[in-house]
Amino acid sequence: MKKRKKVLAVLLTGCVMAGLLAGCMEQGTSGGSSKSNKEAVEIPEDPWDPYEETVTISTVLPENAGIQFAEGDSYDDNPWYRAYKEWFNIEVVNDWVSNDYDTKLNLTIADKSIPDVFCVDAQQLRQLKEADMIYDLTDIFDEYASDLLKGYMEQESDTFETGHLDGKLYGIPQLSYGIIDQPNQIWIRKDWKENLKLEDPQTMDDVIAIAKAFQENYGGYGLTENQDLDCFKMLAVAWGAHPDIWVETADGSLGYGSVQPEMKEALEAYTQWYKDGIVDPEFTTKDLEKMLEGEISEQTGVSPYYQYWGYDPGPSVVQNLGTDAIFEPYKIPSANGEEVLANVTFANYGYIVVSKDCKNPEAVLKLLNFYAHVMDEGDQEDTEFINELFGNAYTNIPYALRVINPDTDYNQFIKVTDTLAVSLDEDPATLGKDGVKYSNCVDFIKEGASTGVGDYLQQGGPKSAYRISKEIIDNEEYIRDAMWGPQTETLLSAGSTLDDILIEGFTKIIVGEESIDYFDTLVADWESAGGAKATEEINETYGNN
Amino acid sequence: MQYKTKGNKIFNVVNIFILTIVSLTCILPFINLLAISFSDSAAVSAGAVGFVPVDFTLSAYEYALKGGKFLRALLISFERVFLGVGINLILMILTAYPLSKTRKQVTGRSVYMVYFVITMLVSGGMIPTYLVVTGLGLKDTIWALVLPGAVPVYNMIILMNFMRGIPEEIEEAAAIDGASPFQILVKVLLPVLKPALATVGLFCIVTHWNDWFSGMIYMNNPNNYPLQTYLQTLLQSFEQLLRSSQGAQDIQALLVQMDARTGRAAQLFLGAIPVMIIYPFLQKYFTKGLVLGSVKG
Repeated sequence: MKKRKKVLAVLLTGCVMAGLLAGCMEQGTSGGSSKSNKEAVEIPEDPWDPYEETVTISTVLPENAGIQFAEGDSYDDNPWYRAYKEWFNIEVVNDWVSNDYDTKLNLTIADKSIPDVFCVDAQQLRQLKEADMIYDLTDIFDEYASDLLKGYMEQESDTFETGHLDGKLYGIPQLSYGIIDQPNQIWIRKDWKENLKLEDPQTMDDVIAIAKAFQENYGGYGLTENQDLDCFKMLAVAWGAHPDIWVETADGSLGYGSVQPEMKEALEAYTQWYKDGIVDPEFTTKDLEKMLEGEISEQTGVSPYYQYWGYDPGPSVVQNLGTDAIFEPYKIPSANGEEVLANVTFANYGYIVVSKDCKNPEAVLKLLNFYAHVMDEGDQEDTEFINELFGNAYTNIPYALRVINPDTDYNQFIKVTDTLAVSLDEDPATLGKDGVKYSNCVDFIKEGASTGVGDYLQQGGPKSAYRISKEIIDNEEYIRDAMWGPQTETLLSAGSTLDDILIEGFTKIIVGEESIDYFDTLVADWESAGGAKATEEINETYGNN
Repeated sequence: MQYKTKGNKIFNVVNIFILTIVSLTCILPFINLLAISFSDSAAVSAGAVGFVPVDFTLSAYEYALKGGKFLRALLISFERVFLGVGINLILMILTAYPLSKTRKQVTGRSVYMVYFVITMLVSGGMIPTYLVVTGLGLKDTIWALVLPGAVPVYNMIILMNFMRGIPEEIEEAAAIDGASPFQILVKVLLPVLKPALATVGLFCIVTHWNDWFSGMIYMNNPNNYPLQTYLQTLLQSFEQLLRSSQGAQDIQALLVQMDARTGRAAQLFLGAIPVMIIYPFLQKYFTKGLVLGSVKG
């Protein structure tokens, strides 16, 4: 009996050991990005020539629920990856695709099994550089980036600078589609405004008059609002307040826009509107989705909102209420006769970094050049090829392999509206990747298609969000966030708490729980909770320039 | 056997009233979800759907089952539950049995007990656990979902206490008849323990079924996600996606997501069905477990 037990014990120990060994051995072969090249492949002379031998580049990307894969396509096999192989003989493989990119990426960094190229935020960029895991791209960028790509960086040199650490380029900023998508508008229901024969609003009083007229004739409430006070914050620029961004104050130092005296004025007027029953009386219980339901169910006809009203709730409004019930955008007018400056924040989607273990880092630059080429010079290529790349929301696939032309949306707007002005029967193919926007606008104009209302109200219509925003940009009627780069320490750790303090306080004032003088107490609370420290840090990092 | 005093009557009324409210708060959101899944998407976006479907349609269910994604995730979840609960039960029974004995019968029992209980109090944390799982080469396999939680200590202790409740005489009788400890466990104890196994088994099923997080961090491809991880992707609220999305171009992609709100409800409902089916089947063991005694005096 005892002997049998001993034999069993030995056997079991043996099993455990074998298991461990097997685990270790497997680890030996599969550690890190297993498929990457071990040796560097010789670089062809012409920047657009393919490599002699296949270069394998690994990357990672977030899952995007919007991508509608065509039959046979997947994250691992799609028009982009096929084009890379065909043009450069570069094979791009995904180490992983995840629906929680940030968590997964942090785990991957902790595991030290980073892919060859991937996209990080400013904080991760600094960590990776300190851990000595990423490539110094300074020389490679100079040598291999196309003129197009370099042009973007020259145009956005401030942003380009934020990718440098210790004077060397470690992360290539991805930039953004442009600040034209940042200014907000006041959206007013078209058929109600026409029925009541109301003029376009020129001042804030006009806006309120329209809201009141709607209320008298159609019931409900005047202005939309939600528990985050998004609408109030959008309107605050009318009083010269700039909530949520850092601005230069009277004494020349930098301060947080949400706690400046102008904000108090805006708050005072807004509180009065709430008292008069113009602002949605139930806003404290509504999130953004609930707020939009009010527009679809005809509770209200005026809404301060982002430029993408046409995409959401636009289609639902058209489906439920018809094409005449769409809301049209108007520039946010002044409340005190002074010029209104729109808020513009630092827009950079992320930084492209390359692993130190990557044997052919220049291959990444070639792929970035490719993206810039098809994006900006797509009309030189076969139309079908371009449509394949840009259809089905496939632009989200080269997640770490794209730098975006900061004028993309601006140029697209000009192209689409110019073509619409000429005729409604152009062949969309002649517009390259912008053809879809054009044909969507045409669909809406001709048949009132709900799928086209987004593009129509953003760009194509006679009253469109970008038409207003283009004017704002051309006339420089905007103010840039003084924090033009990554957040400072206190903001990273406590920024959202600080904002919550303000939102809660503002809400109390608006609903009448506290008087307007509470604003000063609130600012003091905000400062002692970390606001003062944040201000100090911002002045240190971004002040005096 | 009825106590019809005044106090009892009042108690009954209040009791029923409170219980009704509690059960309504559980059931109504579910009915709302069901109504949304059967409604037209236009009505849903206007917030017009309450507890009755508006413009009845089955298109959401067609959409949910068409892509094949849902079914694939469902199969992976089934695989995980079968494997995972199987391993859970075997390991729990094998651990709980010796631990249910006294210190005299099993030397070092309290040391083992502390060894297990400590894992309930402190865990390695997400990153170390991730490193271990990756280091063992489990990442991107079904084992990464099954092995890290192979011994659910809490459930094991419940099972252990059930075993302690069984009169010693039963085991002694078997031992006298010449049964080895293993035979006693399999042939004598397990049949008696059925209600207990049903209880902890159900706990394990629900844990495996509902866990979405491990699927998300250990799987490298959304095609390998179990059902709950897949549903979580759909549920990431629209607002959150909107705020993290990359500018105007991506909004179009989100639009597709938005239209799918009814589809989302349909998939949530389909995802809840398997667990709802299991409950009634295990119910009989629960009631039995309460009245079951093996040594009749």
